[in-house]
Amino acid sequence: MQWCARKEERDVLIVLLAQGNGVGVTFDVTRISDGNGMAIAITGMVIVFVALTLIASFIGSLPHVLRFIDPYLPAVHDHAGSPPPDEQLPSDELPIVAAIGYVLQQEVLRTASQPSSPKVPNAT
Amino acid sequence: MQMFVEFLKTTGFAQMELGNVVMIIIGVAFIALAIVKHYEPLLLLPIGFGVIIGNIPTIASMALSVYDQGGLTVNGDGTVTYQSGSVLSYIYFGVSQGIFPPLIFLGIGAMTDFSTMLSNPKLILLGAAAQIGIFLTLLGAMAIGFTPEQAAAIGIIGGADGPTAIFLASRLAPDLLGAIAIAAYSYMALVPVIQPPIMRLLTTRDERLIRMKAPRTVPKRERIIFPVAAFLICTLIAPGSLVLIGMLFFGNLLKESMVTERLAVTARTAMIDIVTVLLGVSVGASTQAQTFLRPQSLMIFGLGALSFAIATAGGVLFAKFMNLFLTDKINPLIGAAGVSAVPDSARVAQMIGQAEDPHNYLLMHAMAPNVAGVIGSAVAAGVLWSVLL
Repeated sequence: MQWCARKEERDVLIVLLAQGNGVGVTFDVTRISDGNGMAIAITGMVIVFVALTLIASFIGSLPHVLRFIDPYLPAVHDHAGSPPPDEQLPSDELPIVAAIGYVLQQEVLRTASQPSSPKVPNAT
Repeated sequence: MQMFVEFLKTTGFAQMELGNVVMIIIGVAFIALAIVKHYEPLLLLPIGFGVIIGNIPTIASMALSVYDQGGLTVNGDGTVTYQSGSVLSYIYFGVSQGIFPPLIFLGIGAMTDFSTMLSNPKLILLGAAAQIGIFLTLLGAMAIGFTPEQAAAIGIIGGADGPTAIFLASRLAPDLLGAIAIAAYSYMALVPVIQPPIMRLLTTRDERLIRMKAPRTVPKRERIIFPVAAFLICTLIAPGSLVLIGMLFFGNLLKESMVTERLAVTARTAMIDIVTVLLGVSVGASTQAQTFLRPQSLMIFGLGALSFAIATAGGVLFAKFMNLFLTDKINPLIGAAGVSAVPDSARVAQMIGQAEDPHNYLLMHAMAPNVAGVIGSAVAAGVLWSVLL
């Protein structure tokens, strides 16, 4: 088996797990240096940090960049998209508006059904 | 009568080995966990059923398993015959060739809201810190005898990102793909079990009580520019992450542009569901006892747990380290969300935080390192692929 084929008796040798078939798992730190493990790990970690740090820096500077280019390239709202949040009707007001409309309509209908009442304009 | 006896020899009962029985029990356990405990049911249920499918003994002459691939064979008389592969092998092609993971990333991108990350960019560093689990586990796996390629594929389990783990394993260690995929998805499902003890151990009560400022509203323009810019940054630094990062940010651009709503909806609903089903079943079916029940698999599971624990600790400790320099303190619990596993690890941060202060809402803050972790693990996979290929 490839994963336990090497038997150098150097440095730390710890039996971590003994399987039923008698194969022991050996912990040998020289395998890390032989396989260039430290270099791979450090390179990988540094690149991940650099990439995400650059993204963070870009995001941090983006509002300032946009403020700078605003006079030349103002934000436009196309008709395909929904309006920005400050132009939208808050969703919790919709039931209130509907209730007011319903009450108004009922009031108009009730008034119109009374023969003695003066004629009211069409609700619509 | 003889035909009947011959038929009996071909049944699953006659060919069943102890290993197959063990794997079928594991498959049933996965299904039970998904249904009873609700542990990642969208993943564990297809994988669990796939495990059962893959461990039904088949007739050697019939192409039924995921490993029965078709191909041309040259006969003794010089003629060439073509034998078609099994249906499962064609589905598994998407896993073995790394096709499914980028498609899942497309769907993830189309459903991910990067707003919280954009509103507080310093939290991105927590997503980077949590990737330390990948690289320390790589060293541990190498020390116990795995090759650097296998060790990298095992280490990526700590990224807590199933598609990334499958993608890298299919590139660097195809022989370990089944075990790595099962380990990655199992630990993702066990996020609520693995992370809390580590988070409590590494934080004080006062730290868990830290309240963070509400994130600012992110304008549409920033949300549209971000996927394009972040894609350029990541792939110019680590071209190996091109496929995963490209699909992730392409999906996000579909969502944020608001002019391709149909495509974004398809990517985050029907498409990702179809791919998840195919991936789950075929990965599960690849865990045949004869290839899966080996000491290697046990070690992969052990190293995967280690990787996950280190990643969680790395995120929490780095948040504490950042607090040494920040005036607006970060609640270190959200550092644990840097391991990806979107959105479960963010939910765990919220849960642990609310256990101390029911009015402390950490979820939106935890989503920032959570999605940064997805980017971080994809970049890490790209780096490892580039370095070890």
